[in-house]
Amino acid sequence: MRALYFLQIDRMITKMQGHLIWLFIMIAVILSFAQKNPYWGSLYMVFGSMILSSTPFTMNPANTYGFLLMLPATVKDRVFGRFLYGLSLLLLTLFFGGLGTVLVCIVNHIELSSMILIFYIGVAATALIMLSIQYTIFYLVGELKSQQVMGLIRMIPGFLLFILGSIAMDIIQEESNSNLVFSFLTWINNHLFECVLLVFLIAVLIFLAGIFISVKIQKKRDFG
Amino acid sequence: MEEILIVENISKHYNDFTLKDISFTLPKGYIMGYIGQNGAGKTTTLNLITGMCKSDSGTITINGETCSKNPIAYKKSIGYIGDSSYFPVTMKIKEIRTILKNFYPDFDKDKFDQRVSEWNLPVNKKIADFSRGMKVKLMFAAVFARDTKLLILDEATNGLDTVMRADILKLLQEYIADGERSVLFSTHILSDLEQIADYIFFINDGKKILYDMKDEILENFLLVKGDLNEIDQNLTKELIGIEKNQFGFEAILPTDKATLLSKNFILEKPNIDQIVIHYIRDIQSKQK
Repeated sequence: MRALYFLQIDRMITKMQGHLIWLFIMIAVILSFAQKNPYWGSLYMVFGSMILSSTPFTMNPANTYGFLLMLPATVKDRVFGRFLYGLSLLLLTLFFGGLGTVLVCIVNHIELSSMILIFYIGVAATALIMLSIQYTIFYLVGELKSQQVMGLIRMIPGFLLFILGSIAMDIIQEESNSNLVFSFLTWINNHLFECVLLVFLIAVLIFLAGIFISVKIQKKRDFG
Repeated sequence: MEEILIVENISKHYNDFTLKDISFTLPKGYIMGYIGQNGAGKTTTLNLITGMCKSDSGTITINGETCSKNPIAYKKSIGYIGDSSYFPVTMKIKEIRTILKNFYPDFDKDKFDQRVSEWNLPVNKKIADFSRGMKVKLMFAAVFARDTKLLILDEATNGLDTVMRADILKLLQEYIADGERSVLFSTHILSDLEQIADYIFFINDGKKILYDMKDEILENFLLVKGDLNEIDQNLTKELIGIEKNQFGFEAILPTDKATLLSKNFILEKPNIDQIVIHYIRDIQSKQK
């Protein structure tokens, strides 16, 4: 319950920035209709939620931070509440993203296939992994120091995904004639739903690991 | 006397500062002044007591609880008021009320609103737009609407006008009136402590210099004035913080050493300010 109260505090502190999420949602819906693409807008929304989810780490000057630390709660409550804040933003954008996708499909007479569900599970998994990495890095650097290197930390998960994606693409291109790579890609194509579900489960585990590691980090930290 | 706060041999080491073996107790229904120069270790001690940082050794108990074993009960019993507002500046009073209500089951919303109204705190403005006096009053309103056992003030009266400081001192005396609660008051303004403190803990460079009941401290020292030529070797050893001036000298002397004084000296009862200043001078002269 106390974790939910910390989620509420984060929402109060980031109220002004939180209004931006509705701007992201609006722009995403407009772009989706303009591009007649059911997916593009959702990606833009989730990208927006990734940026906004790091805002609480940057909104607390030292004395305000002291107030939050003195509230009668455990380290676990504070950290879990923060992760829940990030998760709530992600779920909000996924919901509206999904709604927008369905609307675009209906308006543009695009068939609502299982690919949409697979796409959303994949996006949710990716975003959850990025969120977990970002938050854990913020806690590792320290919430107060984070404000100085915020921009850098926000880019790290995206960089990691980009670098890993590039390496994967390079391997696939180099080994494009390889039977092994071809079989592997065919197998993924034939079991896409199961693969995406597996990635989602891994993302959930990474999310929980992120909370666990962040609690450990915060327990050792001095704030005086 | 039952102790509300027990601090036993706490130490904390930083790169450029060490708090060493600080011990004291604060009984229920009393006010302790925690005094010292800038950088003496006051805020470090208070940070350890509030649980903001962990001591390298020693224990701190409030109302029988330690922060490590029961952080929730421990923090619930503390009311803290600092020299600057700790409320998020983008928030308004109603959001502060919501947070306090969520985290403190004993938070009395009506008492809080009554204080807010009594002190004319603006409910529709953000904390960022409050004056310093308003911010301090809001912190007091928040703390007094809860059932705390220990009120910790860290330079809370700094920069406030005389009337406001007088109001706060009156509030502190009301706070301890039931004999179940205590106040730990860190301040530079020693004249405030003269009025209300029961105990004084004087810290310098991370170490205890004096710790006793205020009245005992005042009884245990004399302010000695006289001609420098009248000071013999025995007296020099006992005088604390000799300050030379155009009339001769001024220093503090423990009362039990008064037999060393001849009739040529002027003796006065010192105040806390004078005792502290002479002690600091004494420490500084020994360091040279």
